[in-house]
Amino acid sequence: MKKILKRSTLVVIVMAGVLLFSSCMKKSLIDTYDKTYAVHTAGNPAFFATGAQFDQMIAQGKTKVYVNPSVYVVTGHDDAVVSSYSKGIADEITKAMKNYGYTIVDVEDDADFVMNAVNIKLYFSLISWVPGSAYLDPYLAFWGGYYPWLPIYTITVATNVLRVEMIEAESLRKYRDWYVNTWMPSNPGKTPGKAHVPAEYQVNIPWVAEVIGDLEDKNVNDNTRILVNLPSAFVQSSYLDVNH
Amino acid sequence: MKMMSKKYILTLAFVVCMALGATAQPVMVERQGRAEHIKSYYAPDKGFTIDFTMGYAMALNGISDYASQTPSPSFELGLGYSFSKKWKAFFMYQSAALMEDTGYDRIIISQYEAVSGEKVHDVSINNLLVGGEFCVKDFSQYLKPYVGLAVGMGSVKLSTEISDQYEFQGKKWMPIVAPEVGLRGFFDKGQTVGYNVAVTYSQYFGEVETVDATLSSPSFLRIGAGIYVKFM
Repeated sequence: MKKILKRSTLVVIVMAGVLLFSSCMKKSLIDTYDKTYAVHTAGNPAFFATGAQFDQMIAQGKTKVYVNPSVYVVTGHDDAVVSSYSKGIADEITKAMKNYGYTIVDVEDDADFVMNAVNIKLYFSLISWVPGSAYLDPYLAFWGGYYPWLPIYTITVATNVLRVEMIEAESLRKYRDWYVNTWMPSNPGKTPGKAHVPAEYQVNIPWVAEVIGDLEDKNVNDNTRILVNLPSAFVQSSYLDVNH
Repeated sequence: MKMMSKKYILTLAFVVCMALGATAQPVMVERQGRAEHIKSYYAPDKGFTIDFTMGYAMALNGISDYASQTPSPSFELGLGYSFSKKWKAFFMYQSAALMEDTGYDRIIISQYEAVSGEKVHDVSINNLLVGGEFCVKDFSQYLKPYVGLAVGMGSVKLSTEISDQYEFQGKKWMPIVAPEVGLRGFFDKGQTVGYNVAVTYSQYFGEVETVDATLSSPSFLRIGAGIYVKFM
């Protein structure tokens, strides 16, 4: 009986080990950098609803768009610089907006809408991961550092995001007036947070698109992946069409 | 996946080897006329049992439309009690997973929100079951076909992932009925450690949905093999 019990106990321990180990081994089917790129778009329902501000602007012929030719690269470590892929990105946005019936203008002050893009390249390094857990959130838990008492795995996560915003130009001009004439005189050298800006001067952003994926150590591939995926942002946002 | 399969195979091989080396407990028997020492073997009918099987689940109604590939193994762990040579009752935990890369796709979240990318469907199944088992015929120590029926609650979690960047989930606990046919056999004459091969059909009653799918009364078929231990 003792032998049987010993043998059974061993079997149970082995089983438990297999179960615990297998629970940590779930593998994603996504295995290439190209496949990690997704495109997310979100329009403001209050802006695009039937008869709302968008329809009113279209009815008044306010369809002029300025596309910012400078796409800044933000890394969080160095000063922002203009991306070498700015032209390609701006050209893609321009082409898509033309297809949707907008008139492209060269002067921002003449525009009814401003299209602005920024490329955010984020590197999180020395992040600890406990088997079986999800990745710990680097923003909330330990942005910029790591917990040395959980050194099970140390990984590097790199994310590449192109964020494109469609801005209602009149609201942008109002914000700039407030910033120059009200904020700056009383807060020299300071940047206002959203809470500092009165509601009537906050920028109206009716549409946002994000092309997001894993960052590889070959910038040329990363930028190409963004360019390849960017058209999907407009394809899946047909409500931007002025002739809808 | 390949590495994982090897680990399971090695573990099962280890357990089987251990079981093959098992020795049954000899008992003394007195015969009429003259006393002699012979060896016989005691194989108790009653006793607690532990079942462990590894296998794969095949998607059937509903689930097959969502994820039909099976790259993740399924496992089953049961604790039971044999009342006799024929009858057994058990409590069981069962887990299975099915995944499928459906390729580039676009998901419409609402009228003004969408996400596109490489779409992967993932179904995670966790069942808690109680049931009974009947040995149809005891052919030999090595061959004992049986039929079983289990009922309980099962959790079906659907997960639609886009390019590892976005995930949409739907999960529901549903009643489940799971009939099973299988084979058991023991490696040792004391009938303490053996094998189990089974085919189980699992039918859920209910509906679970995620952003791009709704499964009504899903079901799956599971084929598993593993070890079986009887003790006390």
